[in-house]
Formats: sequence, structure tokens, C-alpha cells
Amino acid sequence: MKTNPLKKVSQKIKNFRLTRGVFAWPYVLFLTVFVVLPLVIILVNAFLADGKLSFANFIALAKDGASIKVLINSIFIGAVTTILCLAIGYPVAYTLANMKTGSIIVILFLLPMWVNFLVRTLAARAVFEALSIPLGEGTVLFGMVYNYIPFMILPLHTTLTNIDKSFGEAAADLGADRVTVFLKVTLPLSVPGIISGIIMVFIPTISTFAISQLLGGVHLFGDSIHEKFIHGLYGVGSVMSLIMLAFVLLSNMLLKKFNKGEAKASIW
Amino acid sequence: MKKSLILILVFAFVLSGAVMIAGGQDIAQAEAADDGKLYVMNWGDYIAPDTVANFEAWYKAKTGEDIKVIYTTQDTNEMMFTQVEKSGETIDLVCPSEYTIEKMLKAGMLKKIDKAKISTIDNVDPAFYTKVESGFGTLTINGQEVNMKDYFVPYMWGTLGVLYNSDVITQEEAEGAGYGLLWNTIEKKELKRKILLKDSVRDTYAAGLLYLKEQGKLPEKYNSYSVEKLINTVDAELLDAVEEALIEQKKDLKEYEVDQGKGDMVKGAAYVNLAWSGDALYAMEEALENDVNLDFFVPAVGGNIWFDGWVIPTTCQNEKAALAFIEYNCLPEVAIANAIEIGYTCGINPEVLKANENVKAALYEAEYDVDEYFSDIVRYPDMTDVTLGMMHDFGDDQVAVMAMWERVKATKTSATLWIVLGSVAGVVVIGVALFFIIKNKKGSKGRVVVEGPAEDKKEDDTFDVEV
Repeated sequence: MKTNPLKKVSQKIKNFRLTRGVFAWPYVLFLTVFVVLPLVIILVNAFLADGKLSFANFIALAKDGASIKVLINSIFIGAVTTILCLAIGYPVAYTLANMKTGSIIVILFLLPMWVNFLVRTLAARAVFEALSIPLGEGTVLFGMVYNYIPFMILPLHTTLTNIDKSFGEAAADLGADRVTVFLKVTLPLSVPGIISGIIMVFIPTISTFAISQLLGGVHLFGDSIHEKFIHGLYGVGSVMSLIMLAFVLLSNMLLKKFNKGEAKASIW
Repeated sequence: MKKSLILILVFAFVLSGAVMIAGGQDIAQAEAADDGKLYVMNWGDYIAPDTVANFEAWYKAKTGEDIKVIYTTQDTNEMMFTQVEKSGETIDLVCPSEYTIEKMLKAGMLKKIDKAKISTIDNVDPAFYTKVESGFGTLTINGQEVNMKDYFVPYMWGTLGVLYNSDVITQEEAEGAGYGLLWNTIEKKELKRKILLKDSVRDTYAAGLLYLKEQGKLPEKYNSYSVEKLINTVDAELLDAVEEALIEQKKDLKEYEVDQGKGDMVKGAAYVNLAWSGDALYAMEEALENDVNLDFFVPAVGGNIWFDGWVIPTTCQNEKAALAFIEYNCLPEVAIANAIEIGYTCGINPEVLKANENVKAALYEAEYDVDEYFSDIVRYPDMTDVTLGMMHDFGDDQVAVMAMWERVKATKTSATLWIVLGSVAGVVVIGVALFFIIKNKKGSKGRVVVEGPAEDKKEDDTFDVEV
């Protein structure tokens, strides 16, 4: 503790070795500049009104009421999208995991992901128009599920293929029928996959903005933030971003906690 | 201990950086602007493609100096305002709309334009300045009386009105309905979900107010207001009334369009839209190629007249070149080239344009009839018409108007969502049930046949692992 800090630094330089950790520095730098710094700017902006530190932005947001409504709406749409992705994705992943050619078919599911999401969404819009399907909430949900379902299928497929088949066979030997095997063995063992699928889908969907606008003008929280920023209301926009961030972190933490408990149980 | 110290240091560094940027102390500003450069900020697709290059050559010929124009574009007035506010020293000339000019002026961001140094200034239509003077009057800024007309030179202008498909809607129906066409007051089945509105709060607010006025649904005390006063009034009563009207409009709405509206109208995918005259003229020409006929009108009850003008920020580093750029754009042949390219109406006096041979030649080349071009009421509406009002800066009321607009957009028909969700859940449950029923049946029937080879295979696998 008593050593001179300058000496410490020079010692550090002397002791410099090209270790594996060194190769992580460019990324750490990138992270600082493009993730940490913008977050701090948002934090500062949230408390800055007319050049002074204040809570004015929070009060303005609480007063207008519309944004809270939009937030609840987005959470609802995000939840519906996630449920739909899970409901559609799980049977697909389950079937593919039991097929020999499953991993090849999974690539087919991933193929659309290599096309930019904006192009995909505009294409979906053109298809709806050609079929004269009116744009609305239904089409927005379609667009969201279409865009995010690969993120659900992938972790599910990985988890399901990694489940040791002998567990199921053992259960069957002990007299369980197929439904019981699925409910008591496969489903509990695939919970980590379900959780990561939910994280990968739910969290991005609540902040979606372009898809909702292009496919039927449903106004989501992401759209609301976007609108605040283009109208120069940086303070309120930053507060909303913070809320979003807090929400993302919170749901992430909750899901992780839930996952941990399950993972421990699934060791047996 | 050491780690946390480093973390704190990193955090402090990042924080100081953030405060610097948030405070507008952009490091880039430290660079002194070069004399040979002119930073121009304009709207996207708002100038003829060769105007900038031609200006550089013209400037060289006129002054003997080299100039490099750095031309950037923005999509919204608010972005222009913020850009000028935050990084002013890299913007010498900018082209916002009238209400943003007012806002910039109030914020003390604008320099008086030295019109004596612009030789072509007399080409500008004087009606503009009369209109601006009657609309905005004199503003008091920092105890000084200023006249907004001294701070801008108009570039393009037009009106806000209703664009409709004249194959589906007759002119009598449209003009009889006025703004009501956007609300489908004529109750035409074809218009169901074929009506667009701009996702632009100022324009929809104005349209909502004018619709209420047209329908006689405005609260009593506002009936005596002029159009200009009405579209610039923001209070709780009007906000509620407009909110209700806009929510009512949603039943026939296709969507709130951002920039796909022109395309939808041209393709015949939508039949009615709230549009700016320039966009409307452009769409009408494009639509002819698709055998779609479009028409545009400003309803009789009144409308919004707007303009975009060149202004010079106080932080301008190259005023000489900025004035020259304005001067160049006020040349009749340059102004008409820009106007033909983008479809909007330039701010040059039509009499001056008509008298210029180059202008006539350019119009002829673009396949316009000169007399028709200038007599088109869509392109050249009567600027002195009192039912055409200019929009002013909403100031602090902007937040309330935006909140109203968000409430309108967030109002949804939840029922469809629940139906979709319920039916999908039902299908999934039935599907899963069927899957297991079929699998169980198959399993019991073919137990011996299926399991034999499967077990063989398993043994092979274990063998492989052991090897």
C-alpha cells in the first residue's frame, strides 16, 4: 500500500507480458466507447433539464401518461410474441432434435436471419399488400414472431439435442408412457433452453421499433423513445431509455435466478 | 482494491467525456473552420443533383476563390435545430421550416441576413414577407424588437392538403367532404382502411382542428378564431377534441405513414392521404405511369401554408460564401431547376420566372407547359388567402401535443390480439395432443418392428464410444 503509484506503473510496464488477457483489450476499449459511454450520456441526459440537474424529465414523463400506456402495451405485445415463439418453436425444436437430419433443417430456419431484418420486414409488408391483408396488430405480431423465432428455436434445439437419450429410455423402461417421459424428463431438462430462448426473444421485442411501424403502425415503447429523440426531447427520451434498461436488466436477473434453481434440480 | 480503483478511474474518465459531449463541447469544434469550405444543411432530396457542383464553379468564376461545399441532410426540423445548437460551428447555412426559424430566432441562434450583399434578392416573391409579417409580426428577443423577415430567404413553399385517388373518388365528393374525406364522412366502402395520415404530430393536429371546424364540432369560443390562430392554439380543450377526432378516424385508417405514403398512393394501395403540395404534385406525375389518377386540394375551410427558408446561424464561419449560396439559389434558372427536380414550388416570384427565357427552356425540356405550370392552383395557391395559415413554434406546448399524439397512436383494438392469441394457443394444444396420440398408437402397434433395429443401433453407438 505504501509503494509510490508511479513506481507501480513503471513496474507494470516492465512486467508487461503478451498474455491472453491482452487480446481482450481492444474489445474492452470498444465496449467502453460504444456501450459504457453512451449509457453514461443517457444517464447524464436523463437528469439534465435546461442545463441544470433536476428531476424535471421524470416528472414530465409521469405527467403525460401516454408513455406509461405505451410501455404496458409493449410489454404485452412482447409477452404475446414470446409465448407465440415458444408455442411454435418448441414443437419444431423437439421434432428436429429427434431427427437425424435435424441440424441441417435448423440451418434452413436460420437462413432468413442472414438477410437484413429491414429487408425481411419490407418484404413481408409487400406480401401482405399483395394478398390485400390489412396491416394491423396481427401483421405486427406476425412480423415479430417471424423475426425472432430463430432466436427461440436455436437454444431450444441445442438443449434438446444435448439431453442424454438414455434418461428418456430409463424412464420408459420403468413404465412411463411417452407423455410422462416428455413431461417428467424432457421438459424439465430443457428448461435452460426455454429460459435462454425467452431472454433472447422477450428482451429485444419490448424495445422493437421499426417492425411495429412498418407492419401496421402499432406504437411501441421503442417507437415512443425514437419519437422523443427525433423531436429533440432528449431528457424525456433518456429517462424512457433508462426505464427500458432497468426493465431489461430486471427481467434478465429474474430469469437467471429462476434458471439457476432449475439447473440445480436438473443435475439429479 | 486495485481493480475497483481502476474501475472508478475508468468511470470518471467516461463520465467526464459524457458531460463534455452532453454539454455540447464537441471536440470537433476546436478545429477552426476553413475559409475554403461552406457547410450547408438541407433536407434530403431537396435540391437538383448538380446545383452544388455548379455553385462551386459559379463561385470560382465570380470571386476567383475556391470553395468546397460540404452538404449534409436531415429528416426533421428538430434534428436541424439540435444540430445547429450542438455543433453550430460546422454549419454555415441551414434550411428549416418557418416555425423552426421562429424557434431558432427566439433562441438567439440566427444572424441577420445582409440582403444588400445578395444581388438576386429582388427575385424573391415579396408576398412571402407580407405573409410572414402579418403572421409572425415582430418578435421581442432579449428586449430587442426583431422582424423575422430579416432573418431568412425563402427556398421552397407549399400547402398542406388532401391527396386522393380520383379514379375512386369524384372531385365533387372530395371537395364536398373537405378534411372529412380523411374521416370518410362520405362513407364510401372502398375507402375502408385505405386512408393514410402522416405520422407527423403538427400536421395531424392541424388537420384535426380544421376537420372539427369544418364539421362545426369545435367548442363555441373557438369559432371566431382565424385559421392561423386556430392551428396555433394548444390548450386542454382543443387537445381533447382533436384526440377524440383522431381516435374516431382510426376505424378507416390504413396506417400512419412515415415516408411510404407517396408510394402507396402512386400504386393505388391507398386512396386518401394528408399530403404536402410538393409531394402531391410529385405523386400525381408518378401515378400517371401506373395508370392511377391522383388529385390534390386544400379544403375550403382553410389550410396550412408553409415554407422552408435559408438561415445563417450566429456561429457561421463563412458568411460570404453562405450569402453567395443564397444568391445563387435565387437565380431564376437555378431555382426552377431545383423546383422541377423535387416537385415543390420555389420561393422566386413567378413573374420573374415567367420572364426568363432559360426558365421557359428548362420547363419545356421537362415537358411542362409554361402557362399551365404557373397557373396550377396546387403549385401556386393564392398566398394572400386568409384561410391559409402559417404554423408557429408551439414552444413548451409541444410536449402536450406530442403526448396527445402518442395517446392516439397507442389506443388499440385489443380484441383482435386476444383472438389471435387464443386461436394460436388452441391450435398448438390440439396439435400437441394429436402428436402424442398418433405417436402412442404407432408405438404400441409397431413396437417389435421399430425397437429391434433401434436397439441394434444403440449398441453400435456404445461400441464406438468404448473404442
